[in-house]
Amino acid sequence: MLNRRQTLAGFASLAALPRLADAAPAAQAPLRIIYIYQPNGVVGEQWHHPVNAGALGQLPPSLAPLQQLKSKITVIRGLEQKTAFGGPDGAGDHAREVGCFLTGVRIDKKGLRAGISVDQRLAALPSMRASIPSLELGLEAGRPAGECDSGYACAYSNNLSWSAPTRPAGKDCDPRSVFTRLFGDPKRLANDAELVRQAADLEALAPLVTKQARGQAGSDSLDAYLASLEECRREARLGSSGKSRMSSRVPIPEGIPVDPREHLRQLYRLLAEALRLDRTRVATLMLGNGGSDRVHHWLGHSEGHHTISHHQRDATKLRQLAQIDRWHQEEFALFLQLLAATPEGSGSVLDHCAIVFASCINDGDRHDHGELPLILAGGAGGRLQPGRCISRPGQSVNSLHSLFLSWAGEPKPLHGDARNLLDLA
Amino acid sequence: MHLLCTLLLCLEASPELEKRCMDCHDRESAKGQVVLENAALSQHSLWRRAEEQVRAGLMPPASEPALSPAARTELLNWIHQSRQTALAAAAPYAPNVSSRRLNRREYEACVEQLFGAGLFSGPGALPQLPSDDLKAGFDTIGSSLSVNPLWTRRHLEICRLILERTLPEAGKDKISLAASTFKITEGRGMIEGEASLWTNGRLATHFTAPRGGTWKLSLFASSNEIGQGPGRLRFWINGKAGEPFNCDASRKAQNFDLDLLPGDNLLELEFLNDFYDPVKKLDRTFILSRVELKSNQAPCLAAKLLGQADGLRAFARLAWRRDPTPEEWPAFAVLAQRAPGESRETALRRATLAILAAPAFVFRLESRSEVLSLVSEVELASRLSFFLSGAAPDEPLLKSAESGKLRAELKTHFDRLLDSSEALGRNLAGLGFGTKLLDAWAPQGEFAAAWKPSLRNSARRQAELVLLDMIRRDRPARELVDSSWTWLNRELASHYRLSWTGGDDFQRIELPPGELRRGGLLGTAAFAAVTSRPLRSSPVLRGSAVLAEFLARPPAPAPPDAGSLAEAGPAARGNARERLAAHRNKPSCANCHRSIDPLGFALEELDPLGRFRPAGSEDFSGQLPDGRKVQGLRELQQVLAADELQLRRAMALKFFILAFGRESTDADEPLLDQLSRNPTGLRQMLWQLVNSDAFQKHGSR
Repeated sequence: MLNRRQTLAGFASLAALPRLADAAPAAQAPLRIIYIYQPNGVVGEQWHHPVNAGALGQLPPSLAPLQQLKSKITVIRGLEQKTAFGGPDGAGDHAREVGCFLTGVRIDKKGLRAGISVDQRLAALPSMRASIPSLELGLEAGRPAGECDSGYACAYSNNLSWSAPTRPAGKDCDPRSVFTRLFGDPKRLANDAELVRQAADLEALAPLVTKQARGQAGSDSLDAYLASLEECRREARLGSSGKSRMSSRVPIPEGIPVDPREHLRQLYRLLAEALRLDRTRVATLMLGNGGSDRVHHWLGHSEGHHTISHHQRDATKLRQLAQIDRWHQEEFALFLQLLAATPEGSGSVLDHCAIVFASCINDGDRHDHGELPLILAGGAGGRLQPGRCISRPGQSVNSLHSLFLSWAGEPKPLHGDARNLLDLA
Repeated sequence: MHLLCTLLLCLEASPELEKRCMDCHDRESAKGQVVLENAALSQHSLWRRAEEQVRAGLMPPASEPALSPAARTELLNWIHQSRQTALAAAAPYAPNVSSRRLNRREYEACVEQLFGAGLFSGPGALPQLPSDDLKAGFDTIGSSLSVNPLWTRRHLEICRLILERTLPEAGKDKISLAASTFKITEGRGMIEGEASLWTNGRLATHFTAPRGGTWKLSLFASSNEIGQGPGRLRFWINGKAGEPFNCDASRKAQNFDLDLLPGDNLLELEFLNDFYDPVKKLDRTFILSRVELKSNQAPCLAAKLLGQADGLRAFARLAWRRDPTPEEWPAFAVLAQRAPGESRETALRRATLAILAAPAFVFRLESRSEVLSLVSEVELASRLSFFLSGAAPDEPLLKSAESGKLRAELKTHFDRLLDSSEALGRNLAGLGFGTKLLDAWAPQGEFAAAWKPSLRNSARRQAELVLLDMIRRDRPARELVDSSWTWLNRELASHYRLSWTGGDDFQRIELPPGELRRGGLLGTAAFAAVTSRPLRSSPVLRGSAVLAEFLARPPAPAPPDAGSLAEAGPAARGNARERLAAHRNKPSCANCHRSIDPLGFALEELDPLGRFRPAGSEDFSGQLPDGRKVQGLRELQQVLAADELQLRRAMALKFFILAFGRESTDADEPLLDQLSRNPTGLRQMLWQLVNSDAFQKHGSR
């Protein structure tokens, strides 16, 4: 703690660091940090809170589903992600809207290089350590053919979370697979001997695999494989000790539902349950890949999200986009209600979460990465005083990431191009 | 031209030309980020693009005065000759290849080679790996094939499931179902030791099969003799009825073949002909004593190998695409030794899992060299096999390489792989021309009903067969856009309104002279669909696809505020033409749309499903940047067919990415130029590629 204070002492924003952070009873109700990502930006007039700062009143139309929850949310206006602007790299804003959002660095157009993302940094900190370090969830697998965006590798559009600059963390889109990881294989709940043997098999093969890999010239993907095998070993050890099998209240999913609405609800339910049982304290959820062209059939649309996001102020398209924005908030509100209704400590699970819901594009027609739509839900264990709108024009969203890192005890919390911790006072 | 000369070769310069290009492409202006000033001739890609742009009439742009024909010829000749000189002088290039993980389709192919076909589809399919992140439209780019815990967890899960099926505990491939495990779900009867049905009815039981596929069922049952013929029964397996059969009083076992799902199965026995005559005291009763099931599946390659005494090593050799080394092998072999109280299968599964978890299975590993030299034949075998058949080397190929004969026998194996595997055609169609997008493409409105799953599959298959056939029969790249033949089945022929005398299956046909529009890929439903939105065809998508996929001249991405066209019917499309015209007047859009739009307009002759719109219903004409006019698909085919160099280059680029797992750089231009320039068919192009330094060697700095 002393170290952290010393490190931060030089920053002007230290005064703004909520004192409550130090007092939070971490052992009882841990802090959880979640990022939920909406691609393609929003319709600003209907989304952005009309008041720049102060207590939240009537929410704008797209956020109306959160009205009942307004005492639990903080609307932050004015943040930007400078690293996502085109600059010398030219086109490719949908690769960058995702690839830059949590990494906070410029991404490489030719090869594959971003930076470690804030969620993966958080997951590595002792205070955020749970039996599953982090969950990476998504609604859309990568596209099966074609270019994703302007010559960038599809890995950028498809991955919010990066465990190292050349290693996208991937994301699980299959609720059943997520369930299995969180609560154990539903088919094998009784079979302890099998889990013990699986763990033993992994222990036996690990040194052989490592030795064969070491015989090869250095390669990042081989190293990544060894690291991932190590993670599987750790999980198997936990599993064989019975610690990974939990009785969850979530119905066992069958696979990926055909209806995206049901798909999203299942992922939200699983995430809520993971948080309730403290299986993980860090998660990301991609509601779509960068530039997603998902067709929202159930809203009566016949063209894809990205296609209509180039609205050119066309009234029909703007209306359809606003419908998408609102639908996302309806589902998000259900998720928040689930957390708010789950008691924890003297409050609810939601009171101990910091949940960012954001897009890293403001207006899909213009592809700009400033004035980002961003909601911060939850009380972060007393570190936040929600129910307000805070305006921080021109501040980097990386300063918000940095604030989270500092809350979680990272001695060097500045992330990406951030120069200070965001002041939320 | 002198502009170029002055800067590059200090040849005599023509002030006029220097002024024409250098106003925009000097270091200061660097328009379009293209700098020709002081650009070395070894910047092969830059100069190739310069030549392409001038040749296509795109440079100088429309906003500037055009070049006189003489000046244009002179300029083109100069660039061309300078390029050829530079390309000829370039050093051979064959870099070391870094470790690349198998992509999903290669992984599945490798697993199926070892453990049997069809494992990843249909009921009881294995889970799939997470999808691969593409780069440049392909799933082979090494840097994008990253590994994370999700991938590895899924990989291990797949391996465990296969091994459970392949090496079940002794006795687990037999299931015995006593009568007491059944329940009476219909009719009346009694279960006590044996199960009896007194009326028509059903007996049902759930059981777990360790693996799916065909099982032999032995039924031990009887029905009493009442002089009215035998009892009639039938099985239901997982809700599907079998054929009725007789059951007499003899109690002899009767055998049947049943398809089971891996995991839970529902087996029912239905009694069909109860007979009761109280007067004559005749009462037929069905009595079940037990059912036995035994897996009937032919053992897969892995099961055969692992059943042998020294089979583990032979298995490792195939899984690793090379012989295990004496140093590494003992540690793996030791895993197969049984611990006290452990079954042989358990120990074998452990060792086999280790082999499949080893980098030599998961990755394509190659040795590195400090100097340019041939790769080993075993490495060459993998390069060849993954490229041509999308899977690991089979036994003949591996054996040839191990005995040092592969380079001598290369042509034999090249021919054998090309003619036996469809992988290359599938990958070219699926990735190179994007037909994989058809899976998720869901047309709306008037198009939804006609786009049946069977039609979608036929459309995809047609594109694969056309490409496969072009390769196998060594057809020239020109036939991608203009040919007198195609592949059709009854469904597609009817969709295309062509008369059809063949059967239901695909066959190659010669097109009637009036229907040449259906030759090549442009007139296929697959191409029409992947370049359409859900409610409309898109001239912009189509024009861009032709430039990118067929001519290897992808247009620059649209600027963000460019906007897109409105959806819906013919009226809106007419409107679209006007809006595109407005578009072409915007300087930031003009130069690309001059190329895109005329191609797209000609292709508007096809609706989103690849059906022709009536002639004269709309305007299908456009003017190319070089001034030529194109009207409709047929004229477009002929115009494109004349551009053989670019058609070949487009194919060479696709082959390149599939073969080498990376995007080409300047150092690869000599090879690509050679492949595009040789006026051969596609099979010859592949053969040339397989014999290139890049394919045969490694170690370039």
